[in-house]
Amino acid sequence: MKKDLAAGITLLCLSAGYAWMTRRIPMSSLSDGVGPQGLPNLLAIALAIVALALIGKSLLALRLAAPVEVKAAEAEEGERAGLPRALAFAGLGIGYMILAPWTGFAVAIALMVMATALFEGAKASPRLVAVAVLVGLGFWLVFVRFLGVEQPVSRLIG
Amino acid sequence: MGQFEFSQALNLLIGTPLVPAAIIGLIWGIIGGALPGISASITMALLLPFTYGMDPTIAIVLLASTYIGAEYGGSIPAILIRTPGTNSAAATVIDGYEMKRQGKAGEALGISLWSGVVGSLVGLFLLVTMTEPLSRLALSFTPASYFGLGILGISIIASLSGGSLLKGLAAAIVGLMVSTIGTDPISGVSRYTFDVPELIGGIKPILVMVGLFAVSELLMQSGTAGHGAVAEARVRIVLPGWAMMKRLFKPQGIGCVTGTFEGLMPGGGGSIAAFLAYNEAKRWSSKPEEFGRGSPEGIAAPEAANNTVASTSLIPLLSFGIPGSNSAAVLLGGLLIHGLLPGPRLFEQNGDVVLGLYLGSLIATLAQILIGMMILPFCMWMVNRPRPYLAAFILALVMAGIFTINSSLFDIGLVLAGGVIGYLMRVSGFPFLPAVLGVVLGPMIEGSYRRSLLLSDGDHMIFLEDRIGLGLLSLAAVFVVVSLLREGRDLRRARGASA
Repeated sequence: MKKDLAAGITLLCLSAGYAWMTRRIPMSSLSDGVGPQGLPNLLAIALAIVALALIGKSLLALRLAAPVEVKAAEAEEGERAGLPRALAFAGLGIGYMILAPWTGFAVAIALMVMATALFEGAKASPRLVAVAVLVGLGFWLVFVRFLGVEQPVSRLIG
Repeated sequence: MGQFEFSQALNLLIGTPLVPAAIIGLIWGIIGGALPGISASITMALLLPFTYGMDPTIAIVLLASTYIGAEYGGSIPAILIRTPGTNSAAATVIDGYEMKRQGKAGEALGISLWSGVVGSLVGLFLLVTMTEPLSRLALSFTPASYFGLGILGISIIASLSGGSLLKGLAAAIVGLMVSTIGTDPISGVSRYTFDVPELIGGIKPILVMVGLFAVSELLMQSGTAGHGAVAEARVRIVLPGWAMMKRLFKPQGIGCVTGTFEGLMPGGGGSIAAFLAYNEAKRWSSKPEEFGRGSPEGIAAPEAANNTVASTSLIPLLSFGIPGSNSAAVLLGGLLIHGLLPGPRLFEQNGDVVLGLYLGSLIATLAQILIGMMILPFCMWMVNRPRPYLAAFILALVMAGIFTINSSLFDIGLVLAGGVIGYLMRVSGFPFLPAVLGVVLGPMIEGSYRRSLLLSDGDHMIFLEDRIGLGLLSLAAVFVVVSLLREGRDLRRARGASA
């Protein structure tokens, strides 16, 4: 319920930001009657209405529910990663984006596989290194050599 | 089938790699479906970037076969380790795992496989016979009708796919907002690009799909214990004999009927169909007391249902461009990548693609029996791999796949951002499908809205004067109002309970 309230406020901010950016879209002599701002304006209004309704509904639900129920509902989330952990996992992908242009595809994939497996709880071992090297090499062989698909090339090695 | 279609089919079978594509897609689908947490749509989304450079027919066959394979694959861990590989296999756990505990794992897998094939064949028959006649309806559509169709599709999905209409609508509107990023096709003006050159062409639906479906799942599962390794003795699939086939006929029929209705209904999906079929099969069974204690009928009904959905959910997709499920949305992404727009013109201008889709699905369905039996040991091996290694492999696949689309690292960043947004959406209970549909249908909705107003000199009455458009918009309003009333009733009940 508190999450719904937070989501409603976030959506309201998003609609305001979107509306503000819509006003900055330049006019064009090639434009039709509706213009490039036409639908975006309607979307911003629609999102604001939905966000306000969501905020209202969650406030009402918070008033109606007993504190114990609110805690129980929030505890009932099942097993999932927390936000910091999820962001850190996404950071592994960003690490690949930074590394790939320097090390090239195969090395970056191998390093990312190793880092991801360690992050997810695998033990540092010769087996892990072997798997990472095999995946990096295997991906390079399949995608670059056999399928001829373009992948990041190292600026250092070429 | 006319002589022309027959020779075209023969050409596709002999002159193109359609058969290998159907088999590879099937294998990929079974493996992906067998991995707990990797749904059919995720399995397809992981494959989607690699179809970019392919011939359109082969790409679509690959994706459709993956969908078919994943529906069966999901039942493997459901039966063997009590963990459904896909959401739609959740109902199979009840009696499948019970049969496994009784030492009948092979029989349970055989019933699942056989019922899946029956469901797929029935669904395929309906797909072939119903899609083109339905799509002809779209020939009489004006831009105002298409606008109404887009709004109806989004309203239905927003009402049915989540639980909360408000959250569904919010997700759909944000999806539509994402579709407005990039160059406006009419005026040529840049919108919301922040002077980033990579955004000028807009955000492709494929990036949104991979981010929301695949990456968000990796983020959700990060650090969780997973299902644990399974020390499983060798299992061999045992197909049902004639007596068992006769017993399964009724629950399979129930599964096929349920799957047909749920597949045609946008937002229904395989999991609802499977549970509905399970309940109905129990109600109509002569041995209802066996359900929950290892009843073969309790496996046959849900498996026939979710495999029927895999084909029938393509009917509204191919006829009108409205995907009824996450997996159908990914297939729509595959069509759009190759510039193929669903509807009657798809059948007129790209009949070979549609014929290929039918043929490929038939081959995948029939091959499922043999491939399903052959691939089981490998699936078991994959299911037993430690989760950290699987997560690392899937992330590597996403990185490599996304780069192939535009050779752009910026796209990888967009997909990772989509994954984080998807994670936040899941945590807050927002459904994905309305957002994906918003991104996919956004250009169609905006284009038809603006074309309609061009035709009417800016008069919005055109949407009420067009009879088809008015009908579709009225239906959309009915869906929204009914869902709002339902939410209001739930809130009143909560108030009554707390008072």
